[in-house]
Amino acid sequence: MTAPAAAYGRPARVLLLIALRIRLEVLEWSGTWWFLFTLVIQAVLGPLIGMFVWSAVYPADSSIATYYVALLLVTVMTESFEQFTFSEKIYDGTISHDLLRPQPVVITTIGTNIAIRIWLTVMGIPIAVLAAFAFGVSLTWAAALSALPVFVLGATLSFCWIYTLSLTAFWTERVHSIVGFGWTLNSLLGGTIAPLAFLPGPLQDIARVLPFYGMLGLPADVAAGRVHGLPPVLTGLAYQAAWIAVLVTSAVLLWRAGIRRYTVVGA
Amino acid sequence: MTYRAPIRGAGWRETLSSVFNRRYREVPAVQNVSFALAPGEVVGFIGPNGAGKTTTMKILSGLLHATSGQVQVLGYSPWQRRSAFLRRIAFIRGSQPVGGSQELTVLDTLQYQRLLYEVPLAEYRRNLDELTELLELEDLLQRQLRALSLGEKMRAGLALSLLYRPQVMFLDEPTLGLDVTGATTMRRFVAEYAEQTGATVLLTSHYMADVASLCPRLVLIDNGKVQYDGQLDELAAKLSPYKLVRLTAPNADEARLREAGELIEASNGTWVLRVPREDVARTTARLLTELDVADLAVEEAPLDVVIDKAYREGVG
Amino acid sequence: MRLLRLFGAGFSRSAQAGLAFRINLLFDIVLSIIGLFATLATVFIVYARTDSLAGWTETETYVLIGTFQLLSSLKNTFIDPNLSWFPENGIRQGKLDTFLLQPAPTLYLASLARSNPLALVQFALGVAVIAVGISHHGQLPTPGAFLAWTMTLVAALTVTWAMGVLLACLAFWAPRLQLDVFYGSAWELARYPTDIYRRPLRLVLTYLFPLTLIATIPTNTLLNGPRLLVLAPTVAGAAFTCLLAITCWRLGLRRYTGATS
Repeated sequence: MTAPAAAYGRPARVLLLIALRIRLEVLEWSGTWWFLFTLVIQAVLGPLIGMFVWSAVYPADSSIATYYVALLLVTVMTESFEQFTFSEKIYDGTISHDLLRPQPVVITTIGTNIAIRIWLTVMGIPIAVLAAFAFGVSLTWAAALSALPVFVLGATLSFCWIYTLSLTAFWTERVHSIVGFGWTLNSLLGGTIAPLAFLPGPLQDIARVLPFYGMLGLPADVAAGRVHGLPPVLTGLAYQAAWIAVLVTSAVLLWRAGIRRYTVVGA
Repeated sequence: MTYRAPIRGAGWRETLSSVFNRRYREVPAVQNVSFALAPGEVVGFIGPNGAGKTTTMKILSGLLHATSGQVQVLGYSPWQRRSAFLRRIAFIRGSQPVGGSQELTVLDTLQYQRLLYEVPLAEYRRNLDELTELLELEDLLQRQLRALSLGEKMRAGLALSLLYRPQVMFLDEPTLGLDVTGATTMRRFVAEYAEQTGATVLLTSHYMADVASLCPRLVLIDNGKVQYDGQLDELAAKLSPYKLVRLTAPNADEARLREAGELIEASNGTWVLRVPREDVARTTARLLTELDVADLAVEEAPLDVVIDKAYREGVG
Repeated sequence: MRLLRLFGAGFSRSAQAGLAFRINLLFDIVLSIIGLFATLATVFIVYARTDSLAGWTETETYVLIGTFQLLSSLKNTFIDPNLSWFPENGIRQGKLDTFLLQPAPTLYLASLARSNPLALVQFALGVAVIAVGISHHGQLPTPGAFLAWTMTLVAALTVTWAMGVLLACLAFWAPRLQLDVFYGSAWELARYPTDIYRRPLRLVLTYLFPLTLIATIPTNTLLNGPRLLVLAPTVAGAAFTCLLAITCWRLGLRRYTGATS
């Protein structure tokens, strides 16, 4: 993220570096299954509570449970913890090791991110199956597959969002609170505490434009078959792409300013 | 004192079977360790890594409950950890100089310690002034514990422990990681404290300088057993039947020196000879008469060498 | 008495240390308010769609949320700092040794000596929400209901502490288990009336892992008056959990000082 890929080599090399990093990190994280399990539990809690609440409000509507099981899966598959994997490196100074390597620092962060997501997915699927079974949910393969494009962009978007927030660690020690704040926005406007369709009118309109729905609710809505026709999906994709552009730009700017500050002040 | 450690073979089959049918091996950490300390004694407790020093210290302070045997410290059974007992001992570990919250300042922690150990206010003030001066704490008092360097932490840790004037001190590697100045301060302080208050001190250290400067008596354990208990210089004499004669004689003839003893070092007119203990007097007399000697000194073999020999070969 | 003095000393030092970082303090206050508003927004969104959530009206739910906020604040202030410290630092790094050698009950030192006074900001917010909820409710609780409510809160706090100790105790046998995160996650389940959960889970939350006690029972007591059939088992249950925690702690400590690995 520091400079165009050309400065370090061709895009293919970057992809290869990321792939190698993912492999390494997947192995490294396998020893911490207990910790990963706690992450999964934290991740599934929001969707599960939402499912209980809204199933109590509309006991007859089975699409709610379907939506929340899909949301649960999307949540575990797109969790981002850059406030730990990245910001802590700034706090304890170990980011200096990464700075000395001939590759963009963000490659390590991305590798860790995807490795953790892989583990969380593996561990989250049984919980989703259990919930689906308990609430009599039927997800169709066709709908799930049709959610792939919005899911991929949504996953990218949530990484960019948390990574951007984590970059504030260059300036403040309260990055965990900041990310916590981001998380509150996510669950409020992203479709966790209530499916977007249940939000009051004006709030719903705002939430549709903001990036949070694109990270969680949109992929879940599509996978649950609650979005009808192509146009809303295309609109969603457009919003996602636009937000990714915005966040990547801010991340690059923040990184440049932050690293300047870091190298001047010293660790 | 024995530890029960689960054992497990290699391979999946063994691993699985150990889940259901766990086998244990009794690991004796300390066996038949028996010694007594008189009040006011300062004793060095040494032995190679894994000899059982820390385990013994933990038993003596009450952190571990010995599986068999008898332990009495100040007339208490340590493992009961009675308040009255805990208020009279201190266990200071170089690896963890200060426990508790690292966010608080040294002064805050000292005040908390006063409440915890019920030190009367007047005594607290007096002790604090004294410790502040002896340990040069003035600049540290307002700083957070976590911001202190290792040497500073050790000084703070000492102050925290000595605030309540313990009668028995267990020092486990107190100079671990300290620089020369830090280690010297530490040693001088412990020696002064023991002398002034008549406290009993048991000290483990890998640095023989600690032991040599502080402890007239030595207990050496290995494999959980006491190998030697007695005066430090006797151990040296027993283990090292040689002394070193260091002399400066610019014009001496090397062949001449070789006749006097085993030449182990030679540089710029300074020579070091290894001479059997019983021959030292005769040899030095001869060297002084036969050579033009500018300077001559008789030294014990370095303690490190002696102790290393004891660890490797045992005490005869 | 001495324990109270120690507790007071520790608390005031932590408070001073916390207040020293004014920006962080401001940050925490702002975040607490945002978090609370997010929760209130949830209630608002739910009741925009329905009049009754598993038999609870909107104002009742506000009182419930306020009560949950009170206990969460107390948990964050007095229990979490100790609980999250314990397995990693206390057992794995052996820092429990320090406490064992101090002349005060080890259980007190390990489970209550640390605190995070800044988290009490949420307490004030919780009281405010309860006040607003009650004023909308129409009728003030009787003094008896108020007294019984306080009693249930104390019982809830006791159970919260005891469950924390029980979870921490597991570290004596399995040092790698870090259960405070699960505790925190499960705790979130108490944010809503436990009546919304389906039967097996509801039974677990009532009897086995009594999160019903955190908000649902106190709120019911405050709004609908004390009922002996609820109060007596609550107090008895709290006392029992407390005893259980102390017993487990003693067993764990015996194992720890017995040095079986």
